[in-house]
Amino acid sequence: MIQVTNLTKRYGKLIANQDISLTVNPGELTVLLGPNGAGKSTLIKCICGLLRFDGEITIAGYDNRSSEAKRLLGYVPEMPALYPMLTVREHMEFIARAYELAEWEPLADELLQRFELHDKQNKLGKELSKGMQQKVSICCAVLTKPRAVIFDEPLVGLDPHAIRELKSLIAEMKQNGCAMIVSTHMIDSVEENWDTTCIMTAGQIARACRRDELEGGDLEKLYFSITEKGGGGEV
Amino acid sequence: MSSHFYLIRTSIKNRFKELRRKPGKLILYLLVIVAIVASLIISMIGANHSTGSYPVIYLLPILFGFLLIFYAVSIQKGLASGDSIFEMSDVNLLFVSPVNPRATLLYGLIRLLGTSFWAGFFLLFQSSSLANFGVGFEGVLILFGAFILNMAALTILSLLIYSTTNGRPARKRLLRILAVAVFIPMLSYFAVRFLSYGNALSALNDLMESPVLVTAPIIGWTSAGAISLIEGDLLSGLRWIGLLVLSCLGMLYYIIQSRSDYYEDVLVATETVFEKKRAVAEGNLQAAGATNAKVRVNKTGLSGAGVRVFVYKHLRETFRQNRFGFFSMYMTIIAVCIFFFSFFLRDKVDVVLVLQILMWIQVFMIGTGRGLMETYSHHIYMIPGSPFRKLIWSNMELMLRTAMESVLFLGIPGIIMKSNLVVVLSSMVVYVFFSLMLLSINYLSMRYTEANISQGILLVIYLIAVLLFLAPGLVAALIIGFSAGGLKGTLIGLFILSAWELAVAVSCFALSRNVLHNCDMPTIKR
Repeated sequence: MIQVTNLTKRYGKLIANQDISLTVNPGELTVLLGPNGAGKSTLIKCICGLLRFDGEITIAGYDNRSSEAKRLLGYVPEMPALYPMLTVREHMEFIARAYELAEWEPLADELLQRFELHDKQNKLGKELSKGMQQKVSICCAVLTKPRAVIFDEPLVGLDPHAIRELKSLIAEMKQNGCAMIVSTHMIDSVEENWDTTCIMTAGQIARACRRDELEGGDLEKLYFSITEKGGGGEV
Repeated sequence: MSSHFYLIRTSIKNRFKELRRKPGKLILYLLVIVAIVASLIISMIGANHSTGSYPVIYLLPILFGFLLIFYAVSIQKGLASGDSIFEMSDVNLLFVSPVNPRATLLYGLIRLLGTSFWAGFFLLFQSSSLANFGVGFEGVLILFGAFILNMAALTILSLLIYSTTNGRPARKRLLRILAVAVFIPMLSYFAVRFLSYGNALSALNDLMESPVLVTAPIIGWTSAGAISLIEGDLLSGLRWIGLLVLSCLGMLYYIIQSRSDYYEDVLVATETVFEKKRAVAEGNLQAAGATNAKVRVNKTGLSGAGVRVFVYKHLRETFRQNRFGFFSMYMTIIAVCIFFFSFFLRDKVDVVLVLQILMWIQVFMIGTGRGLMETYSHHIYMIPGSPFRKLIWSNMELMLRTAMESVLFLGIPGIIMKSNLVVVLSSMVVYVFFSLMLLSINYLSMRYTEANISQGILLVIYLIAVLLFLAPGLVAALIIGFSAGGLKGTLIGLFILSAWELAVAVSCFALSRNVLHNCDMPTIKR
């Protein structure tokens, strides 16, 4: 579903991502791990078509910049950027109208209910706390029923209820065949659902492996074995 | 060594060191120096060859109107959260340290003067416009100095207002009335004199001589002081500027004496500014532009489908931000100043001069359009649809606003000045097409720089691009217009200029039609 081939992203002389290739199949969840500055957010922005790059990225076989690919892709950014003068409900309506969705209201209501935003539908974007903004951002991203979703640090700022709902939403989407990439520093949060992982350091994928390739399945141990010299031991 | 002195010294030193690592910034500074030198040469040549088309006293209402915008902003800030003269790092490190709070305030003021210096920098590039009033380079420097002082005074005023009205609604209401009422004596005096003389020049001269100007705090004193000094009336100029300096010292004395623990008063403003800066750094320009003002949500919902939804969203945001829609505070102040200008000086000026001033303002105001702001958010890139259509629909609201501005700023003043109707209509077309051209140049700069450079350099590139693109049309319009002469010449000149602007706008839009496809989503780089 998500296919990245030989992606390189340069900012002048700085190489933020170098020759990255990865594939996320339908119904799979790929966890993107790595220390700060490893190039995770840059990779995500390239996949979402927000940055130029060398290489090829396709979503369900479509070039990621095409309208077909955009229609299939959802994105939850690291920093929720809501419009200060739109209400929560209007954010959903904006997405529904922009994507020309039919019968979007029942799903919007369900999402708002799940994330405890139902009573805040008429609150303006600027009146919401960061956690609430993040919830709206998640609702907007999944309202289009995307077949691929990219989450960049989705749990930051969320309350325990929202974290539980997001985890269950991710599990449901997986079951429905949605391909997902989740970038996070909270390794525990994806322990239950992950299928593949890509551990990035210095703009490259230092290690990519499937869950069944990992003995004991300890993602945290694998992470430290790659990112810290002498830490974590062999996996 | 004093911690304050250490902070100032090290900050300045590190700024210079940074230039070695960031050649782009060095180029920017060099360009600014070149522009100032060029400005100096232009004003020296201008001063040698012309005594100005208009008397320098006409600058008084223009300067006053311009400073009125900053005055209104300061009052609003003072009533909301105060103004910030500190950084968040000062709050976290300096405020909690065992240092003298008064020395900290002095340190904040020194930094404030530095900020005001940069805020007034654009005045140095106004030499050619100011030459119309016979103002040479010394005059430009006087205006620059007065502006710095004015901005510093307004910041202190804002601090004082917050400190004295915070949590006191009755005082806030009283201050709102007072803030407007202080200008009534000055305006009434001018109106009476104008009616008795029948011309604005004598009325303005009388106003300058009159003690009634004392009642127009800060901006009235700044305007009168600067104009007196430019006219060579040293005594009067120093009297007004002295009053301004004394008022600053008085306000500071009051703040320190009445609230020795002033940290609380500056904390909210510092935090507000910090949040805005953080939002800008994260690319969330929408949040950075949001105010704390209470907004009543009445009508909800959007219209349109596909990329057309952008225009409806922008209209909803505009009307929610301000219940009068496009009639923002900025628009109202500009309109009032132009109406004033066109009524009292109707025999001396024409609509084309108003157009010139508006075009200059629009060079900077175009960047506040919601369409350009939208490029800092991921939605416009991720929503399916043609990049060119997204560009068009996301700027439709701005074009509607510009069309309304042309009626308000040029159409109505044109009627007041009894200008020729065709000239007024042509000026409106020039203004709208100029805005379109500026918008297209913004996208073209984004395309060619790939939005991957610092905002300062991007602004310089944009300004140079505006000059280069406008110059051929403007020169042709002036040469052909002047050679034809009279009303016919004016109309031909305006026609050529508008046709040129439209041609440039269409070409630039065509060249940057895929900018949303081919560029990185911009982030604010310093």
